[in-house]
Amino acid sequence: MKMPDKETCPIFDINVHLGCWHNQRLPYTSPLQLQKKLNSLGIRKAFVSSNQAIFYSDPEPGNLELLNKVKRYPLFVPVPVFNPNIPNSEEILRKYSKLKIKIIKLFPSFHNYSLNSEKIKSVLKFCLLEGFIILIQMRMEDERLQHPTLKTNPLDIDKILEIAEMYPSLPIICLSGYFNECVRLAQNSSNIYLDISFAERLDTIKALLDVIPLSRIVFGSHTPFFYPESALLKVESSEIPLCWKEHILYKNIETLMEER
Amino acid sequence: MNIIDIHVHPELEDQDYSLTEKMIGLAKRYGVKHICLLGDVLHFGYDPSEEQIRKINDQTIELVEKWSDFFFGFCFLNPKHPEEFMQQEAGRCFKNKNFKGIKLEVAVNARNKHVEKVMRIARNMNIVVLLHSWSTEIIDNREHQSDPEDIAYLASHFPDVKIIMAHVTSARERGVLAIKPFSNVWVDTSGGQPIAGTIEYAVEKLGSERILFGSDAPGRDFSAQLGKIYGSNISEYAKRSILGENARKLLGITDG
Repeated sequence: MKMPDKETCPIFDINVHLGCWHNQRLPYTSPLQLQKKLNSLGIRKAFVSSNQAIFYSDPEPGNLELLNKVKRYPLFVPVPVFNPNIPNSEEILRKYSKLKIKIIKLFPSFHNYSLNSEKIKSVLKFCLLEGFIILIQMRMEDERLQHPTLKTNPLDIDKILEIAEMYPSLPIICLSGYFNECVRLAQNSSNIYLDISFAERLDTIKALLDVIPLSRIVFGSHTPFFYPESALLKVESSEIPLCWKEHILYKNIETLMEER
Repeated sequence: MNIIDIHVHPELEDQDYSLTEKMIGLAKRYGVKHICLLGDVLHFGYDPSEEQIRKINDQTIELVEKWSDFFFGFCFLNPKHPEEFMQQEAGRCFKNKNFKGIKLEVAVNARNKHVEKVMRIARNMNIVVLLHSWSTEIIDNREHQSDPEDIAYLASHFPDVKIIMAHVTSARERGVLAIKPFSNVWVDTSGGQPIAGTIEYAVEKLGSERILFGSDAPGRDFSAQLGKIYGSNISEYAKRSILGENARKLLGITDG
């Protein structure tokens, strides 16, 4: 089991969260604890979003709280939670664009909208023109283990594929998809990227690479909901060339960011 | 570290052993010394016939004989079958000294009267029973699925039979508390996502000696499942116990 040299291969984690959660006693709820944990594992950049912002009627104050919390910690790249249903959503997007924030995270299951609605189409059109990257959080928890009175439904894969086809130059990173969902999304699109946090099969990475191009797999751990060691071990234990591991661990995300 | 994986399912379609050989190779990569094979328990659905049970156990027997230094076996039973058949089937499996217990899946809930027949056999043979368990708060289907509370009920009625409750990830805090009073119940860590905090909580409430490592491969990956243990904030002693020592003691495995 080998990993690339930590000095030359930083790890970028695309799927990190900060804050409390109603259905799980999360570890590392402060930015200092979270940074310490992720740094100890060689993670050098963490794209983090706010758990509280998901549930605020207007996510923006939650995003600003996160920004203030993590600004002293170089590990974190704050990713705003974006709800296209709020009345000033276009104004918010324009603000992000001016601030050169070119990445937003969607939570369609939590914000109760369909990915093929007219509203989301106009948002995605703007994002395409302004060079954004879209993250779609497919789930936060295994549906079988949700709180019995606070349940969300899995996303409709067809609708994700529909928007990917509609905007083929818009990079869409789907987070927390199960193995079969990842395969279907990647095989039926050219602009959907997948993280590895929920995908699991015997020899996960090799199994994914048997059917998905290397360029579409990115490292995501879903920390602190999951033990980040699990995602790292998936990569570490796979018998693939070290240069392929580098692509999964940071180069694929870096390339996407550089293109923005 | 010599790891014992208490929860792995072979697949009946693996006629050429390619999957089995792949699993062995991968497991050894992680330092897994032994695997307990539980049978391809859902191959014929929830309620397999006697003939189907025999087929499933035939494969486990075959694999345990072929890789006798690596595999241990569990005899798969359907509690709805007559006690005489189940006794014969257990006897057939336990002719091989590498068989270590009985496996029950989802034919009936653990409170069902039929399960008592299995527990009597286990008591008479002094062997452990590993039961599937999953919280039904969301998934329902309690006729077949067993909540940790159902496992606790069974344990209270058979205090002299050792029970392994599968899938502590699904049991979560309430499930751990449900079985805590019953010292004849162990939990395995197999299956589910690597939910942070699960292992720490189980160790805090049960003590590390009642927790056994399991992967639920090949549906799951050794990496993600071992990551639960390696990533948990527990002592090195607790990790060693969970990864192998507890299974060694419980199942009477003397090598390694």
